[in-house]
Amino acid sequence: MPPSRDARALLPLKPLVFQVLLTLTEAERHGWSLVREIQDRTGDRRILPANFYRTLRGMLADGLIEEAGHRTSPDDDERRRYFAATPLGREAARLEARRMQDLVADARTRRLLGARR
Amino acid sequence: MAPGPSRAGSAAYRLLLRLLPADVRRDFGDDMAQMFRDRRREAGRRPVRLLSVWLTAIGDVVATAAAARRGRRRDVSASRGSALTLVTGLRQGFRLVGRYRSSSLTAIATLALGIGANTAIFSLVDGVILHTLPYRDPARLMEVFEKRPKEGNMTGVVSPADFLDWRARSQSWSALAAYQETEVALTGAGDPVELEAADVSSGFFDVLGVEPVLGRTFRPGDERPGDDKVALLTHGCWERRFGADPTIVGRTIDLDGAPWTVIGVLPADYHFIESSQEVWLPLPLVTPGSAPPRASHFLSVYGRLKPGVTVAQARDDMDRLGRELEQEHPNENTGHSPNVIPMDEALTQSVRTSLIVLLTAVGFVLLIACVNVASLLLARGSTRTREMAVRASLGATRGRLLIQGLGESLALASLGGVAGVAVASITLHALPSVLPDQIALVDVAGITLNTRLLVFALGLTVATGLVFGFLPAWHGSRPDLNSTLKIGGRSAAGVSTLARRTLVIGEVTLATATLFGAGLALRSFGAILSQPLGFESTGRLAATVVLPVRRYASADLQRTFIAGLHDRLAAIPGVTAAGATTILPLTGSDSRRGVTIEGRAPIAGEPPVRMHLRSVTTEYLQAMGVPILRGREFGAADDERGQRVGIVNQTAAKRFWPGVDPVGRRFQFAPTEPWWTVVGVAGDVKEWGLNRDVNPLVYLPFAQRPAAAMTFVLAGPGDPRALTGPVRATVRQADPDLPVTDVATLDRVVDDSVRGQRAQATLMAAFGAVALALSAIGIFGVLAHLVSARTYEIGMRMTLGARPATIFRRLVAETVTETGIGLAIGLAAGVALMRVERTVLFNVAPWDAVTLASVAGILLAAAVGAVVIPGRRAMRIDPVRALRAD
Repeated sequence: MPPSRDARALLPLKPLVFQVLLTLTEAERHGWSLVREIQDRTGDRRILPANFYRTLRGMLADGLIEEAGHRTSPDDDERRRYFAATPLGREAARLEARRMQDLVADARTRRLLGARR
Repeated sequence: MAPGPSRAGSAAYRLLLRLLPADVRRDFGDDMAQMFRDRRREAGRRPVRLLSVWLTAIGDVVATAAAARRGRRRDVSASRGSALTLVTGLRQGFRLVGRYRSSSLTAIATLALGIGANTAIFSLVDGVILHTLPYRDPARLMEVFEKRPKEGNMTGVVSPADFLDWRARSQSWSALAAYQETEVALTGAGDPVELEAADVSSGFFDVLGVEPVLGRTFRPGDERPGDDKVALLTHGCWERRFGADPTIVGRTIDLDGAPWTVIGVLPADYHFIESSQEVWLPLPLVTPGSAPPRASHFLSVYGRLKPGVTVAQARDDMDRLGRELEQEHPNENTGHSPNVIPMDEALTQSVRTSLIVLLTAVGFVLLIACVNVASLLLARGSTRTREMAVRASLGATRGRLLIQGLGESLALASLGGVAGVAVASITLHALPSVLPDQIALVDVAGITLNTRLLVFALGLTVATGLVFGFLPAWHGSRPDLNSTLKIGGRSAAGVSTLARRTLVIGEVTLATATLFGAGLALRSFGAILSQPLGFESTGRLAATVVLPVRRYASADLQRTFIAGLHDRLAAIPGVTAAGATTILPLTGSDSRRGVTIEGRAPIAGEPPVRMHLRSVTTEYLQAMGVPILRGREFGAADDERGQRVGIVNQTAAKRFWPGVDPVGRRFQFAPTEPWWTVVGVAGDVKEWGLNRDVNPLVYLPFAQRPAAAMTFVLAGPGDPRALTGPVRATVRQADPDLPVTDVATLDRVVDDSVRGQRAQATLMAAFGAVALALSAIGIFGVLAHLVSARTYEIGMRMTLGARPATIFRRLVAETVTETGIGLAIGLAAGVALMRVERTVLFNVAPWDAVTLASVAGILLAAAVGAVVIPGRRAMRIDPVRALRAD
């Protein structure tokens, strides 16, 4: 997969993909801790394992994330595979955030949302 | 059970993950399993949550697998090479499951119920029956009964003389020992306390392989009269009663007023059948001057097989010995012989029949499930005969068509299996709330899902699926394309009509037998519940107080406190009567002592005459509503200074004073103790279980036989539960440090005592309902398919003048005939089965007419109900369209 691929081609990102990238901008994580973090942050308890890992695989294939090696997780002392966001991934997340920002701004000008005080 | 989710659940999830592409599984399988474990842990033991976790997981994996396969085919188009593998068949099978969604769901749900219920009950049976005894090398432990086949008794107790001969003359045992339950009064250390005890011959602890933590166990010399005043203490008794005194060995204790030497202390984890026994004493087998009795039987005998000796060899050895003894002692021993049974088997014997009945019922449910799936596949297969023929004519090989057929059965079976694991784990979680806490020394809550048996149930359904998936696949793959294509597959209905008839009959037979068993279980339970209790349970509350012996050491302190507490409790507003007893009926506790009846000389060698004892306060019988049939109740004069008096129950009156008025007669517990005089006869109370006989029992005044633990019974006109708070407050006022335990209404106590029977009836009713529902669904499915397969035929008949009502009647008549045949076979089988297992029945005959009639009615109604929808569809067939079709 081309690392030099234009991040724009991947937009819009699926919500779950965006959440994963957001979480990985802070630190490298293993799959299960990603799920917990996203669930905690969004309050969404319905992230399903098979679907989630299929998404991760897709992101690996698209070059949005990369493997950051196996190491022992501090949570439970089990060896796990860690993931990190690639530059492409960070770029895609940034572009997605900006796209959403533009959408929100648009909604404001159309008085769908209250104006910022 | 460990707090975490079961291992079998994880294994099932792993199985489910096999649907995903291998690389996904390799990379992320562990993580997914971990997430799933978390989900299940969150759901805890709430069945609905667990079910939803499982359903979500199945949906998640299946959807993802489908998406992954689609995506891959688009990307790589890799499936070309593997065209002929079973995987392809399986994949096609899953697609078919999606296409025929409603019938597939029916099949999956059917399989899930069948497999799930079976695995749960198999696990229970396996856990109870295959539980290993907590002794060394338990497989070599045997119980030796005395069998008297002519009297129908295979597990009788043994006479002392026979036991001594067995021990001296058999060659199979490294140790053989006799055991007898007994009670002793521990005296000389504060007030007398009655202790559960056991008399055992020397070698008993060698049989079990138990070593003492202090001192020694019994030696052959301890059986000699004169040397037999030695005692072993259990660890609990040593701690509770003697403060874990390390120098206890060699000390003398007073039992029944005589000095006994403590020779050892048993380990803390040691317990025998009655875990409440505290003192172990040598069994006095030899009385000087008289031969050991051969005609009276009261010993239980246990043995450990010599190394290398098999059970069969031991049986031969003991049979030979039995025949010799029969010849030597024809008067006493004719018709008797030893019966060697492995000890774990002997222990579980009482529940074995119940479990076998449950297993049979649940096994029938599984068979019905198999029949349903088979008929579904058969039906579907014949619909697709034409599709198969088309495929074959286009060049598909026979092997490929077969694989497609098998793939479909396997797809159904695997989904059904996964859902079945969910059902099983939910059922197992729910079982402890229905079942008694312990069955044959095994904790029910500790029983886990048995993977071995899960695989067995899964294998059985897959096998059924294969066989029945195979038939239509085989038919379909037969290259008789010409006729099939020409007549549009209509002949297929004819091919398997017989098979379908057989399926309907089989289904009705199985459902009938299951329902019949359920009906009898319910009738038995009803009969148990309608037994007269002998006391009033409504409007009564029971509460127990246990006085700490340290603070209430003397009889005087106990008497004063209980009397004071009684007055306070009786004064609570809303209480009309209050009384206290040492042991409440139906609670499983007991106290018994040997007695001597005045004027009734003990027969030499006879086991001692025994009475059960209850110390009660003066108003107890009144508070319980137990009637006094003769004589009087206890009064204030029956105190520690008064004459020793007792009130016997009716059974004791009839047994010990037959034909005479027991009032005024006397009895004695031990030669060193005073005589007690009978002052009244009370009505019999079901003390030991609603389905158990009443034993001789005597009530003694609490003032004359005080105790540290008393259960108060309060009667009042209102809801007894409302008294709970005031009772606790009153006890707190009397002694702030005294705990109140076992607060329950008497209705509740009665209810708890029939938990085992209730569980049996509930489970049987549940299985009966499931069997009925499944077979109704099955009959419906078969008929629905029959109608659609016979559309052409029905259309033809209508064209020839048949009226819709005639067609409908014909269908109903066919179904009723098939149901009738199934009913007849099923009821016959049911009666035969229940005759064999009649020990689970109570006051109900195995051929109970009410049950027979209701089962027949319910099944006929269900069958007619199942025929109505397809029947109406048949009536509405438009002959023109039916004939023009194809």
